[in-house]
Amino acid sequence: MTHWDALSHVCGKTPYLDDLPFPANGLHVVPFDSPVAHGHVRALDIGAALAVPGVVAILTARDIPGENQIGGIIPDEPLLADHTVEFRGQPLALVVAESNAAATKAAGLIQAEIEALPVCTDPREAAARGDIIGRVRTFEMGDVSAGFASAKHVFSGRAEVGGQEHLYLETQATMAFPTMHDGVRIISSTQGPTAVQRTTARVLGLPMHAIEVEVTRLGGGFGGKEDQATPWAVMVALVAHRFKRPAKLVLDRLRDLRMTGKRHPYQADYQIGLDADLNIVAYQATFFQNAGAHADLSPAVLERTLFHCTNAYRVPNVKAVAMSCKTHVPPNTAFRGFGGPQGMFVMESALCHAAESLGIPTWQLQKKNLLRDGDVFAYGQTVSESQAQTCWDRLESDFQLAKRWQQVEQHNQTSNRYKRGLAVMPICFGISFTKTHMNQGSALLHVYTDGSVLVSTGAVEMGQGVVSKLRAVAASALGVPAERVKIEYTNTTRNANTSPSAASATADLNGKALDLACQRLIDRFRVLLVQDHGGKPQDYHFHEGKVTGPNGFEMTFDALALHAHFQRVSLSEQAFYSPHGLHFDLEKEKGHPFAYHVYGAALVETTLDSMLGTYSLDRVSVVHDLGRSLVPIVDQGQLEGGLVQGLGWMTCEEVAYDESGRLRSHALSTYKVPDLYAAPKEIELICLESNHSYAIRGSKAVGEPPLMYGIGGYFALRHAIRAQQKGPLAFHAPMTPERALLALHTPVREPAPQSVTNAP
Amino acid sequence: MIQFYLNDQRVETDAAPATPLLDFIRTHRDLVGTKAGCREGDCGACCVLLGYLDPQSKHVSYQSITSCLFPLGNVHGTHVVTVEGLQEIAPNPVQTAMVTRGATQCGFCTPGFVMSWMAFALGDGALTGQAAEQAIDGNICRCTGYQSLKQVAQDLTAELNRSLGQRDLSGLVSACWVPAYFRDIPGQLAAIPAVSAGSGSGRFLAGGTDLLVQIPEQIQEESVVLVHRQPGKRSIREQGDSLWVDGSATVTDLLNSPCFDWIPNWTDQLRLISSTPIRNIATVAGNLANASPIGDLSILFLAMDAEISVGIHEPDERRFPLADFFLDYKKLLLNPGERIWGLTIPKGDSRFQFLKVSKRTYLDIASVNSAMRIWLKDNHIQRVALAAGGVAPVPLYLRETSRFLEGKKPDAQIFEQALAIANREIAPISDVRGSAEYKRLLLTQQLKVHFETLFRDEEVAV
Repeated sequence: MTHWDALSHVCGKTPYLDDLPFPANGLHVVPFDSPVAHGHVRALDIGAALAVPGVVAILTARDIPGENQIGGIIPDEPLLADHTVEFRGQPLALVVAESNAAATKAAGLIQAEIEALPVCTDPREAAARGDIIGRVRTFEMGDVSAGFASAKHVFSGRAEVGGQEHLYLETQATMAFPTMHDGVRIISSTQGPTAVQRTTARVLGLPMHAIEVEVTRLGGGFGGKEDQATPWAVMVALVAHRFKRPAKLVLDRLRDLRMTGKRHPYQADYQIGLDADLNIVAYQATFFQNAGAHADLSPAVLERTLFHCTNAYRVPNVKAVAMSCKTHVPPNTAFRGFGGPQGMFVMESALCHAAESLGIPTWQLQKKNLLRDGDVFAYGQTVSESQAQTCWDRLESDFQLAKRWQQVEQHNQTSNRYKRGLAVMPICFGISFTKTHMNQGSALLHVYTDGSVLVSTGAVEMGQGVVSKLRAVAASALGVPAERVKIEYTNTTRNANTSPSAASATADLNGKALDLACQRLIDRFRVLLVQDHGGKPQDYHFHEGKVTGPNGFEMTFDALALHAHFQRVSLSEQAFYSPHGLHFDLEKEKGHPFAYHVYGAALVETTLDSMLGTYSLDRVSVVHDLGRSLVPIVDQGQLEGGLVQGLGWMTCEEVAYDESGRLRSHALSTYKVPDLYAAPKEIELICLESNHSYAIRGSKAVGEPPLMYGIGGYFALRHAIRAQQKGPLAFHAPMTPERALLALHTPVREPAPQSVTNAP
Repeated sequence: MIQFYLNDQRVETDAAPATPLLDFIRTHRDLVGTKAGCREGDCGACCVLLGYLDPQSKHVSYQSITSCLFPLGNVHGTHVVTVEGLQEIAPNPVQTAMVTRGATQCGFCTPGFVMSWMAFALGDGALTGQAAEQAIDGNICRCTGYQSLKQVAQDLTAELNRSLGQRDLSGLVSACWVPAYFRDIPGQLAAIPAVSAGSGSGRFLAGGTDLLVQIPEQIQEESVVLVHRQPGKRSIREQGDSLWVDGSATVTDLLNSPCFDWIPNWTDQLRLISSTPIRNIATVAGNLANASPIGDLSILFLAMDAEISVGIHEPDERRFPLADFFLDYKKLLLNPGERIWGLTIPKGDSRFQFLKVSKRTYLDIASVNSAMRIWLKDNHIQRVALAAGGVAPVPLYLRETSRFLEGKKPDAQIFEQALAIANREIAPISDVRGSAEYKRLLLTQQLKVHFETLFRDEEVAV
């Protein structure tokens, strides 16, 4: 089975938002954004802009009929800034024009008079001033003080990890149409249609039923369109509602880059304690998350940093503190891994620090401390069905870890210029929205009288292949060929109050709901069949597009559908699914937040040119706990794509703001994602077929976990650098060629990691 | 009036010549299969085929180009093919391989990949897996991680080698790689009257790869002089004891020219410059005129000790060392109305190397680039040309370092002194491409690599 949409994609027939027909009388919207990162807005001179031929209006905060508020978790973000701006790129006004060219030109003519205020882009500085969004969170288990006191070795230091631009190839895009009864119909390139609907209703002062949101598909999302597709959709809805004309907004790439948030950069302090046998006895970390100017999803991202701060390791005594620090950059947001990768990076830094100090390979320390069933996570959930050890063992046996390590060490003894590096990255990633209530999915199933099947769920297709998986579920459950199943666009009038397509949980939640809907319909058909033809319900089997039953009964599915219709039996079904047993107590910071965990381990090998600081990723060998894959080609693509995105985050992708809050990595010419040659030369995959009942038909969630294998890229490069440079070396990702060369050839001036060895 | 063929349709338009081809395709013709990803040539989602008719052979040669940067006026007399232009045979082998290998996820970048590989299939280069991968060096995919795309590259190579009895248009048509209407295109293009390039007045506009990034709206409102030329008119040739490189030569022309066979790994070095679809349209004159302190070709030709020919009406009104051309940041020794006609490069027994380090090795702008050419005689350095980018407001000819090395017998001590002189000649600044400290270190390291490589036979320890 291939991607359902693949043929359409390769023929160029898949319509993305900017490809949809748009009426000639439609209005084009271009936002005017703040040129200053922090300041009081004194005046907005729109005279010259209004004079541009084709400009219809320029809307500001005063033109908002409802509430000027788009904050999802915390109501702290206006749609259009009014008196104060808090990041460069914050929308201040909307230029509405008859053409995109006119709107763009006019936006360039608006003059904002802004009294500049001090700008802060550093999370530690913000924290020191008390500029915290939400509350400081602390996950604690055991007694860290006692743990450190009992440790033979204690190492402490700092780690820092950069942000990451989503770089979905399709920029933020949306259009809106006025509908009857004062409503608005929105088409949005969003991962969260319900968030768009809810926020639009709030800003326009309308009930949610007045707002219809449809999502055709996304040209990539990666978390960047979970919450941050919303403002643009609300803007066009505002324009369509006010002028009673269609409205469209497609951000150009430069605006998209400077106006939207990214993966959160983090700074952290860590301390790790090991006993004489090198078991981890205590781990303490403080995370300073660079949240940006508004809350957005930062508090939820922060939480997942804590959930994953010990990665795949058994740590009896843990204290992890984390805070969202308010800075004057665009609000940072969801990005594949959702804070988990940053937590893991710090843990891996602590382990690497310990191993380098002790003079042993980091992988020996990692291996010794892998999670086992019965261990407890700092958040109270007990480890069960852990695959950490299994994955590691396969990595050692099938990919010959020890031998490859030897080869790398030997190579580095003899090669002056080219140094090789190797690192292992084990992962353990929790599957479920950590906001327990969001773990719900719904499916609407229609069988038409010709037997063709139409499915609608809350799932949004953004390239992750969820429609291919849903199609496989329905085809299998109804016993019909996949060609008879169509997955409909996502629409809030068919599936209401949906969770966003995020947290790797989309196929599980919506797929399980779909499975239920199919089962109910089959049950109803069976009742009818028993009435007509006797036997017991379970005697009737649905497969290969037909129903077979007792005494050689056989009927096509299509004929059965028509027959049921004539018997006045409903051919439609709606089902709702929520995994039971999930809970989390926000006061105690304990509970059972995850339906299950996904495990894996990756071996990353690199070659570094120590003369020039450049490098190549030679090979990545992965053992991944996939479960029983529903559509293997989809899952393999998620594995490889997530891995390479993670490697990009750790190597060439560097988000940079200057001190005035201006995005220096402002275009694709200054922000580099992996190309064909920056990706690993070779990727080897072994997929484990473990099982878990919470996973849709045993096919485990795969969207986010592989990204974290990329962290191994940083440590493999660090290993290569260590072949030449043994002095202090800060834990600071990404390892750009610049950082690599400076590490190789100049003394480090960043605070060096410290280590203490307790006297025995 | 601009006339050309867009897929199987003849187009006649009076749209502004500097209109990006992409906008014409999407907005004027509603062919939305070609995508706008970045509008600066850095993603390849807008790739289309551009076919030029060779009037003698009646053969149309196709290349991939980034339509977001290519001025519409340049397509007069050509065949432009978008993904819709493959519809009557879809899915063709390229498309089928991408489906089979799962090499498309969100699909937004996909038509660009398809068209880049169509250029590979239609081209006359080597049919190797490596060449098939090079064909997509200008295409970014954010979803797949490229492994499936690499498999497609192998599949296509195997399929082309297997299925094509004859590698020509009729072979490709009968094997369903391209639609049958391609057969009619040479005759149809021949019927389009030629227009003379370089007429009119205003700003010179060639491949568009700088100007359509820098002033995309403004240039559409200006009057421009189109100086992009058909492949046959972009000469790189030997001329006595020197080489002549026409200003309108593209980077691809340089890459394919036998005139540079004396440089080992010449093609590998040129592949560090932009990407296939950009190299197909970006010109020598454009790179020099842009005057970027980090311009790859500027550095490369400075270190070849090239002379530049400028003039209003003809090439040799003024000819002087390229090293004198760059006056200050974006300031050139070029009078109003003068254009860059070409470069004269001294031949002779010498060694040359171009180095470039950027955040990403390919399709990136350098943090620091450098090039060095040496002439050796009797174990002595007879002549040196050394240039570096990213270390000064201009592409810098390292005059003092070059002069210092001349006449010297190469040894470690001499190189050590040369490094010290080079470090005095440069003044890098911190920017998004690296800190001043990094650029200084990086140039030192590059110079060491130049010394090691170019004096390898002399066995000089550096």
